[in-house]
Amino acid sequence: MCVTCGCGHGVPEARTARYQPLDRQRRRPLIMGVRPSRGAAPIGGPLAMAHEPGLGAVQRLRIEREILGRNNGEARRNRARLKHHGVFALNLVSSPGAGKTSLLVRTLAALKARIPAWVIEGDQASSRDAERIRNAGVPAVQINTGKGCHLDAHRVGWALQGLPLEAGGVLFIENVGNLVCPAAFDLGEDHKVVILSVTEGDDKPLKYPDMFHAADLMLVNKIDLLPYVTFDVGACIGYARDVNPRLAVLEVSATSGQGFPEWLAWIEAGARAA
Amino acid sequence: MHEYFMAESVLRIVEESARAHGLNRVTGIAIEVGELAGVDREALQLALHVVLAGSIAQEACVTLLVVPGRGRCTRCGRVVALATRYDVCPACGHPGVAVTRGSELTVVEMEAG
Repeated sequence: MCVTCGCGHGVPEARTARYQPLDRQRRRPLIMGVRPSRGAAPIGGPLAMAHEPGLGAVQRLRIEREILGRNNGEARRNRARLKHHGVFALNLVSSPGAGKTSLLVRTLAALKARIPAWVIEGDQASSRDAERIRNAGVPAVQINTGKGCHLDAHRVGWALQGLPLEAGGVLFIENVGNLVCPAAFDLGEDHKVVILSVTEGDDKPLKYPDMFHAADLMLVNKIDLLPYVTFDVGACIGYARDVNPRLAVLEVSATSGQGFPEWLAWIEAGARAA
Repeated sequence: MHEYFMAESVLRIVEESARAHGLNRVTGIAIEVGELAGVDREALQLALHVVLAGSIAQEACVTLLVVPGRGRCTRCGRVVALATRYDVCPACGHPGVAVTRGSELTVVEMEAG
């Protein structure tokens, strides 16, 4: 047994999974090990196999910290703050070009006379979207993610400070156009709403399943263009529910207003309950 | 795409833990990566190469511990292996399998010398 820490060096099974000696010439982290997790090893942790007798004093620390822990902690704080204010928060996610901002502009035009609304806009660059929202008469904060591919809870928490939140209102967070990364980052919202337009492929739910799994509502947008494209709405909804059986679906058009009464009713029911 | 963010988060966790224990050279890091966590292991390795360079963990051996996906069927109650988060129960065909393992994304251990 390893005298440094009692990690069980010398056990044949442990030797087979031992670290290779560190390549110090490279002055780089040598990333070598990808192996199945056995959970907590009976003696010592996963790094126990790294020990060599006579290597000198080595200290092993059990850490157990979530890599997304900081984001999740900030998301919990955002959620508590929004709940405290009685605000209903939606995280709008889609590919670029699915029509999030146009949908939002029409939604706000209908909603702003009835309930308070605010918008946090996420884009890689520019404040064009926030300007479109402000032109619709609704307070908006723009976040530019720069090299980042998604909004995170910390930036949203910062943006919340700039908004005059009041009970019964609805906060729309328009995420960066990306169907991959935003699925992993909780922002503190009540629901993720995924928007898929009929000018995209109807099998997108199968190609980007994490996002459709994380969402509670899917809006099939640009439904007015259906006569001009080959998009099977029934198949699309079927694929989406294969990934997420509890997903609610509404067919809408930000241009014609089709489906908006149902969409607005869904928002207002959520805002009343918040 | 967000593996770079995750690598930065790994470094932050390692730096904080090292500081808390008065350590200034990290020689090993073990990370549990669930197969259902939506992380590309190769991309994470590449990102760690970039992010750890020049840090207190620049010489660290990093081991990714792969946690296979498992879940319990909410209809038949069987515990089953899952290749994706959305697999139907292989025993009864029910789509509602609650994930019990495989979502891990955790720095579990580090070593300093």
